[in-house]
Amino acid sequence: MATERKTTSYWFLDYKKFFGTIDHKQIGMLYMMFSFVNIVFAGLLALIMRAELYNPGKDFVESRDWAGYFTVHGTVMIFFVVMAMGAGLGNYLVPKMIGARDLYWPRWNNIAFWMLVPASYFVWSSMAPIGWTAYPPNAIVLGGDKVDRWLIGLILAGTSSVIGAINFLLTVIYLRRPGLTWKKLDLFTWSIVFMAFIQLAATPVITIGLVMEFLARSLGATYFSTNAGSSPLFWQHVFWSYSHPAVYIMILPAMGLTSLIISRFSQTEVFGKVSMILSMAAITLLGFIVWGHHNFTASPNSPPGWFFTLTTFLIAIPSGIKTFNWLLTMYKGKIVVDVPFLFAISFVLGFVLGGVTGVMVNTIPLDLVFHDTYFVVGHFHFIIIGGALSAVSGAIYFIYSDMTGRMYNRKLAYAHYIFWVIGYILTFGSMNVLGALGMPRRYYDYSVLSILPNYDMIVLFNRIATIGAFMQGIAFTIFVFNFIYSAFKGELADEKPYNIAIPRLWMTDEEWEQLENMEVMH
Amino acid sequence: MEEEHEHVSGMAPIVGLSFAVTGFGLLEFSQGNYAMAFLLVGIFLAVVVGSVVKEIKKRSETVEAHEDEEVPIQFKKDPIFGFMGKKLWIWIFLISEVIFFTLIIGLSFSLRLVVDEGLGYREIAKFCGLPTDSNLFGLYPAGWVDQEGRAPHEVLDIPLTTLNTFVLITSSYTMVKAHEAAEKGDFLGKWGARNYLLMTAGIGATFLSIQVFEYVSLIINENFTVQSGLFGATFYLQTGFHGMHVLGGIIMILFMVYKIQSGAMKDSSDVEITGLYWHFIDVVWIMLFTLVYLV
Amino acid sequence: MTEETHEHPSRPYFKVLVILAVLTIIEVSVTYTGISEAILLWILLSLAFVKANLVIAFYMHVKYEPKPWLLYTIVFVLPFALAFPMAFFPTVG
Repeated sequence: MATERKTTSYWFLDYKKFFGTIDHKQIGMLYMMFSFVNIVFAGLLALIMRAELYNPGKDFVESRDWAGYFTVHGTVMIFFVVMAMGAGLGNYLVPKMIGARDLYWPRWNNIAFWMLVPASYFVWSSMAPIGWTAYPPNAIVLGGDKVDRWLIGLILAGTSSVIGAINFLLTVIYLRRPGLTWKKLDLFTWSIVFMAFIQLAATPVITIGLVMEFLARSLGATYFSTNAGSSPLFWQHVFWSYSHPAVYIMILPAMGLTSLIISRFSQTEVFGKVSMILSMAAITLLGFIVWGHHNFTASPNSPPGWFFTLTTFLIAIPSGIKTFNWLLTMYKGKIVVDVPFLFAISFVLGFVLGGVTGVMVNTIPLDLVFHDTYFVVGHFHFIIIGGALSAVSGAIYFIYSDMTGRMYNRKLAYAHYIFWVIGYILTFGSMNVLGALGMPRRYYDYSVLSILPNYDMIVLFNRIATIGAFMQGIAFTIFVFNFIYSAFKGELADEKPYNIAIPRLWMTDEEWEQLENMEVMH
Repeated sequence: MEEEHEHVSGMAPIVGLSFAVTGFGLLEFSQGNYAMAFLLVGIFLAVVVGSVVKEIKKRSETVEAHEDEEVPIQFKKDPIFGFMGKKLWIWIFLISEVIFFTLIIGLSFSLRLVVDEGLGYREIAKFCGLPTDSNLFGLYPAGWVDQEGRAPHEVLDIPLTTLNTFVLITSSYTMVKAHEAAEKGDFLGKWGARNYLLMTAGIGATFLSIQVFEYVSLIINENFTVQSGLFGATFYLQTGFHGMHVLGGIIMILFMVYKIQSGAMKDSSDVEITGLYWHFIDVVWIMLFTLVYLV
Repeated sequence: MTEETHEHPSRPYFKVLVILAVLTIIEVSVTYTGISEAILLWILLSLAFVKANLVIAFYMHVKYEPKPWLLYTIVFVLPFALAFPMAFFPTVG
């Protein structure tokens, strides 16, 4: 078995396969590689920014480059790292989980991936100084083609994600094995269904917004101009009505993976599976009516703040249900501690820390203070880095032996885990403190804050955050090294890489046949 | 089992990467180099058309249905979606399109509601306790007007667009007749699917030509452009996106004609899928015509 | 089971076309009567709603599907309900 895998594991060295593959596992791996390349460079941008912030005052980054750095860091991390990773794991896992041979449209799958590559080129080459939110009038009055490149990149990425979403939905609906009813469907596939629905429903929103900005820039249309009776706040509504659902595009697959990993390593069923599915459905639908909480301070004529506060608090309920279900799964089960399990725990930790701070910024009186400070930055990095990326790393470790036929180095994986968790808690925890101390986000030189009474604390916590960021950098370097090195030189994996009852995520052929026979009997 | 199929496609990555060409086309457009922009987008369209034609040709040579054209048995048993058959994908895509056009029309109309005093929005807003003073600085003439203070019915050519509405509705009718003929298995006859499809494409092209004529006369005679305030900007956004969808629909119909001609059409579902998309464009136009031109 | 769609003797496609045309004429002529804009808006909206649903029901043959209401809800009502607040909240911003 292992030798047979070995022969197929270096497929990507053949350029014909590398470009033209329509096999879901290989495209899934392409997505993962793409995501790794992007995370390395976007992570380097983050490290450069953190290094610059180690001391107040200018160190080595030119001030005119600063805004470009954080724009591209944010955009790339969201669209080409976390979303690409979701698509990649979905590609790799969904057909296996539902017992299908491939996705429903293998070639569209390839097209969607190769569309993402030019998209990332346009975003990387833009270095637009607009922030990933691209608020007008700044984004519209800036000359040159920087912002246009950014807009084009995101339009392409959006088109790609709609194609991917339709493909996933068709696959789950069309290609399930007989006997696999919606109720028996596993939680990761469910999470991909909801993710695909959000992509399908929310991407048109951002496409319209991006086209409006594009036309405003190139033809002088007045969609966001106060002179014409509109307002720049109009963009904020359009943008956030996409970008809040987009957050759930990133977090839902991570939730599904965490459920699976925790249940496998606790050697028991997920506690309250139906409530897990319903929670995801609630998060999906509620996610479309909470975007106003990004604009509490933006507009004197703010839309009913109480409405958005209420809906956002409501979203905390399904999130809490999920968290307690994970805890109860572990409580009921017989836990085996191994690398993927630790990363799943790290997801729960990041998710809870980010969630609690999220509820804090959702409270209008607190938001009036915390808005546009590092508190918000700490909040969403906890969710995305501490949460989503942890779960994704755990899942990659879990399926590593299946992907490459080899086993990763466990010691390096534990080192990755320790640096990773300590690193992100230090960085984003300090960011929360910094926000509470009054440090605004996106500042290049914070020596202006020396008028504040807690200035020395601000400097201290900036330094802690930088140290944490470099620990994450070390962690990720270990991860990438382990990933690549073990793919070529690791020891061959055996059938049971983990000492647990079901050492894989999907069903075996015998189990499928059992399921089909059960179906026939009914 | 894996070795039986060569899991490689030569065309797919080319189509995917050719979106970069469109990207560069848009970039040229934003910099004002329109000729270059249209050239690049044209290259992209040529790649797409070429690959689809190649694919149809390949399918016409094989006797058995293509693997991803078959609907698996399991799917037919699905309690929720089982009745849908092959056309499910277009319905899923239409979910996205419904949101897209609801938003385009809705956002434009919501801007209008605030600016335009005649529509009675302010009374409702006051009643609900919502703020109503969007026109903060009053630099623009009040109401839903262009830069010269003209209302929609003073600028837009309503008789011409009414004619255009009839044209599009008629094309919907011929499309549905094409589907009817295809379901009876009549593809190549005098009143068969192919001829009805060609008629639909022709009427669709008429619609587009009238729209282009309308645009040109608006820009040249009326000086009504994208820069004519929110009215002008949203007008071109809505009708422009609709026109692009019509163009896409025409291309799709022509692919179907080619598919019938080359003998690759095995059943009526492709005509039906094209029809669903085409009728949806018609639905969008009905809403657009009312909210943009008539109100 | 689904093969029965092949035998539907006469669907009122032409009738629908005529109704659509008549409704369009009514719509256009209503705009020339000079009633107040606020009332006109609601008349036109309801006429457009009827026309759009005629096309959806007959030309997109939702009416003839085995589960018309389910299809109509999933494809038209639910997305519309999701998009509607997004489209109309900005006005109060």
